[in-house]
Amino acid sequence: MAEPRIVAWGESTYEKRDGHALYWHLWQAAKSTLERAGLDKDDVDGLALSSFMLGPGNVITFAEHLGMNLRWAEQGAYGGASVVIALGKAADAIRNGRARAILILSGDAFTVASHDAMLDDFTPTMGAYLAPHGFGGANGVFALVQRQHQHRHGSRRDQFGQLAVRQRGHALLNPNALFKVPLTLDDYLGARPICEPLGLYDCVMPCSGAHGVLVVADDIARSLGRPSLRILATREAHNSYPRASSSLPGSFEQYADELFAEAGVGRADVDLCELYDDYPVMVAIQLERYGFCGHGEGAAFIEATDTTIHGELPVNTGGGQLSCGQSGAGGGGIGLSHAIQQLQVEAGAWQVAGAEVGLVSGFGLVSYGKGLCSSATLIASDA
Amino acid sequence: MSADGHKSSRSFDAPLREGAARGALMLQRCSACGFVPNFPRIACPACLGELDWFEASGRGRVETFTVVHRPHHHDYDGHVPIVLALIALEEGAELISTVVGADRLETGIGAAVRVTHGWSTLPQFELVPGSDA
Repeated sequence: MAEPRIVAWGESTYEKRDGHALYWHLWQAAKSTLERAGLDKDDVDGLALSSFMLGPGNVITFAEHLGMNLRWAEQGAYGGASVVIALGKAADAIRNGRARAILILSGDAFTVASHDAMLDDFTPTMGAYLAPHGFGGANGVFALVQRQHQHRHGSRRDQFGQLAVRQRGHALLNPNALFKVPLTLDDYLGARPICEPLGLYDCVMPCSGAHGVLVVADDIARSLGRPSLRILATREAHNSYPRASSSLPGSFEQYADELFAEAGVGRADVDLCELYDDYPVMVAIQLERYGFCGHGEGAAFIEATDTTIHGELPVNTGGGQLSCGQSGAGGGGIGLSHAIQQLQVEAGAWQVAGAEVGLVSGFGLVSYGKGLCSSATLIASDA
Repeated sequence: MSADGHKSSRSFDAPLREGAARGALMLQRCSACGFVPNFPRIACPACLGELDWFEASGRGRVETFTVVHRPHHHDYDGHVPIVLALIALEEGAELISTVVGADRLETGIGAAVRVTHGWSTLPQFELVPGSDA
């Protein structure tokens, strides 16, 4: 039985406005991934695609556009959790012999205005029951979560801010990050309020961009002469706590122990985390629920732990969405891409020394007060 | 797109909007298990039973809130600052709505609120005077 191996990553150049079309970004991500692997388009027999802007059948119409003949396809319908879920499905497809080389793409071409317009109909529930309140989009939803976290757990804005400041430090080393100027904690705390207690630097900037990942059967991986990565385990959960109208109760903890058990590693073995950072409070909640600290302690953990690339637990090592920009559904791909770059020792100036095991977490499909989809994978260098 | 022209508005939830127009909060209750969902459903999300509309007390307490300075589009700019709140209703459901009124910025966690007719097509809330958390 074939075993899946991650062999390459790729990405388009992120753009803030007046940029290229979505298909250009997806093409750039596909091409750079395949070139890095040394494979041809016709070597690929499986394609996964996650994009908010494309309509029905989007993975197949994109394959049509690029002339790809597929025997396996996956359309990411899970918001920012889609890419990690696609990775798990791709791994299974390769184990089952249903495909030999699977390209996983994600991306969108948003401006702030086009992203705002999408919020009216992002999910039917959001459009019908939140939009008529002028709710502020996801910013409003996660402002509710952060205030609840602060009230219940005594967490503070300056603790969340430390994460944003450190991620900006990472982004300054990453040429594809859109934010190019340093951020201080004073800048963070003094920024204009968007949805209190969220200020400007708690919120991601919608942008254009795309990410690619290539997963192949291990015999192909061996022939490429590149560092390859093992997929130790993946998990997903949807609509956790059906009665809750907030993401505060969590979701990640529903599979965290299973994930680590199947992977055969412990929390202390994790060399870096790429956590879904639509908002710092969600990174804090992921740190809690994956078991790096207790429930409610995420903000204090951020304050007490050096999460920079030179620290005890590097988090969002390429700057994350907060400092690179949120390329729509590509926000679900950036974390995996950055973890791969680290474990393949291709991150350049933001390389984490000696990284062997990475945790990547996805989250998304924000609806009535909470993100409906969560996913995670543990990946490791092929020792 | 206008504020009340959402494509995803559905006829089955018409009682919610009709109630809002007269300052009432209409909710659904499951005829089989009694569960009250947070937003309108086709069927009970607790037991898949049938739901009936009823006029709720319209009273609840603020679980958490945010002051929205930047709505997601300009149709709402005239209502800024908007107080968006998660409200624990007496009936048990957690509703996301807005607190309106000149005193809305006095909203705090635990504040008592009651339904009112506001600027939205959906039911909105106001602070109950003299009942601070």
